[in-house]
Amino acid sequence: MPARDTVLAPPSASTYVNDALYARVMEELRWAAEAPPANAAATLRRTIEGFLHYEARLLDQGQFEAWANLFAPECIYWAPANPAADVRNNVAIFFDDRRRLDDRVTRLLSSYAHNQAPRPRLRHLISNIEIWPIENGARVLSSQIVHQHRSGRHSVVYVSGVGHTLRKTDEGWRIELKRITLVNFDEALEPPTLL
Amino acid sequence: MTEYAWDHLIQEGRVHRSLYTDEGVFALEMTRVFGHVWTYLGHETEIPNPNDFKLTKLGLRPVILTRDAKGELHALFNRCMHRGVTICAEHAGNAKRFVCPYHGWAYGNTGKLIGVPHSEGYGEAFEMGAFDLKRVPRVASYRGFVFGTLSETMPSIEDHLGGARAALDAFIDRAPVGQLIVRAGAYRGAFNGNWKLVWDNAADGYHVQFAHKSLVDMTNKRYAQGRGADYMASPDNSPIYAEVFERGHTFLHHRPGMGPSLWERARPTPGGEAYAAQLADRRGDAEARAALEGAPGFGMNLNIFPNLLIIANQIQVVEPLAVNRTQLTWYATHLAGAEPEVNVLRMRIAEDFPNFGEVDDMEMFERCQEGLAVPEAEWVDCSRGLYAANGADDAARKVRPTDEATMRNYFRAYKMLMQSGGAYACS
Ligand code: FES
Ligand SMILES: [Fe+2]
Repeated sequence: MPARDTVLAPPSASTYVNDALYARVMEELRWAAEAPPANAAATLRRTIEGFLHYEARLLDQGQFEAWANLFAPECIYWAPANPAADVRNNVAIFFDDRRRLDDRVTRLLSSYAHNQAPRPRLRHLISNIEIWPIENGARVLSSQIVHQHRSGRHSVVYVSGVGHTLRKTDEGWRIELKRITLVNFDEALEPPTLL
Repeated sequence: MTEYAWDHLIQEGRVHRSLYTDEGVFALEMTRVFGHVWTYLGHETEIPNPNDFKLTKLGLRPVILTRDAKGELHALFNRCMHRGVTICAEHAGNAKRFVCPYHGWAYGNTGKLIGVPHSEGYGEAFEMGAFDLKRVPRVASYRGFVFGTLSETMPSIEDHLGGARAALDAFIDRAPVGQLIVRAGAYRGAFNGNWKLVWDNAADGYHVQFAHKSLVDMTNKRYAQGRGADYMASPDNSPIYAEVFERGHTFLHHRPGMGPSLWERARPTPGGEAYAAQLADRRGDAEARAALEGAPGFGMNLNIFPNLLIIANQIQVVEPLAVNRTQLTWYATHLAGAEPEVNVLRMRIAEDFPNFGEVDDMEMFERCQEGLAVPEAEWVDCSRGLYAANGADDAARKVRPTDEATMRNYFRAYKMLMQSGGAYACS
């Protein structure tokens, strides 16, 4: 029996991606333009940094199911194609709910995902972390560089500003929203494996 | 420029690798195909207001597509007539004039040169009129789709669309008021391969169960039967078919295999249940169910030569960048007059295939390009289905979905263009 966090839950209905969610998600871009409080508690900062590093490590080690299970049941994993536009009425590079995120991970782990053979080696570098405490959690901004290398194929570097909305639950910290705004969001991309 | 032995390079059932690898061929294509053929430049709804503009390309030529103060469309080369600077760097916007940043020459959005700083330095004989922006001489809109050609002899856009027009009409007429709105952004990808690799694939019902096995397996593993393209497991035994049209267009028609409801067939979508419920609350079950049929892909790959591909619920534009580099831009579309819930769902559905399907297609394209580097293996085979035709193959307009008649068809148009220097020998 594999450990719980390496098994994806079966798909569930997408009932929470509604107008209210889109409004919340767009709000995320507004607070990201503001200054964080002067001193988020040092322990919170250490906790959050630890969580981001752990999340990155799961990706870098190819533990995609465990990574997906860091997301809350009602989560969004989002890379805008135009961060100035309302994603409700504009296409994104991706805007995954829980179900599509699990679809994505399932495809990536298939032995027939041709663009995953050879398996990309990923390395996430995270810096410039800013924290806004919220009830039972935090909103976090960071700068991230993801290096994706496929042996004998290509190396690509993705540079982005990332926003996380994190919530503390009985099972640990969970990601409600991860927004990745690539610096080259409006240019043609080598499809990223996972950002 | 060297001329090529096109009869040798493009044969019935096989084409030469050099068509994909030779820089000289590519250079000729950038005029004989991307130039002389009606090439998709953009959609009218991207520039809806007087003085709107957007940047686009005709092959490798940078173009500004403008709507002037009177509402007329112009496709102007983005190239200052003084020393060549691109006069516009904004992707899109609203401007009555474009002022070159280098020495300040100013042009109206019709292309007319309207100002030259310190013009006395050119003497009295200087003729401003000789320095208007060069332009794509013929621009035409078909129900909002804007095309341009350098050719004075190409038939009208309606004639060029020919047999493909009915399918394009059907795609547009999904909108309750018969109009697409192309103002919802785009997904952009690029790959290291020749642009024709996209065409080889565009109506290829043969590759799906292999190249897209990761998507097929995911769908089968996670969802009940009847989702996605399960009919592609044995396409020739399904009701789906392909059609070929004059001037290179092709059409792979999935709908006959998709059952009564496109919405029930589509892979589940973020917000699918939430917006279906909201719509049913507002409109009642029956109307909601009917409206939702407008959200998913339309069950067609409609390929309009050389660069406009209608796929799923969106518009894919093929942009050659070099002999071995191509960009694919997927413009999301709204249906004018549709329920707002349907248009929201269209965005999430548009993200499905580029993320889950095209990734593997692009991988195949790159690996074609790598393999085609072998000079000793000269030929790309496209003979599937030819045996049954007895030479009459391509008179048959409807063919089996795995039949490479679709590939042979566009190569036939391509060959005419390359041989004639940019004209179709057909009507
Ligand atoms: S190059 Fe444009 S004004 Fe000189
Ligand atoms: Fe494909």
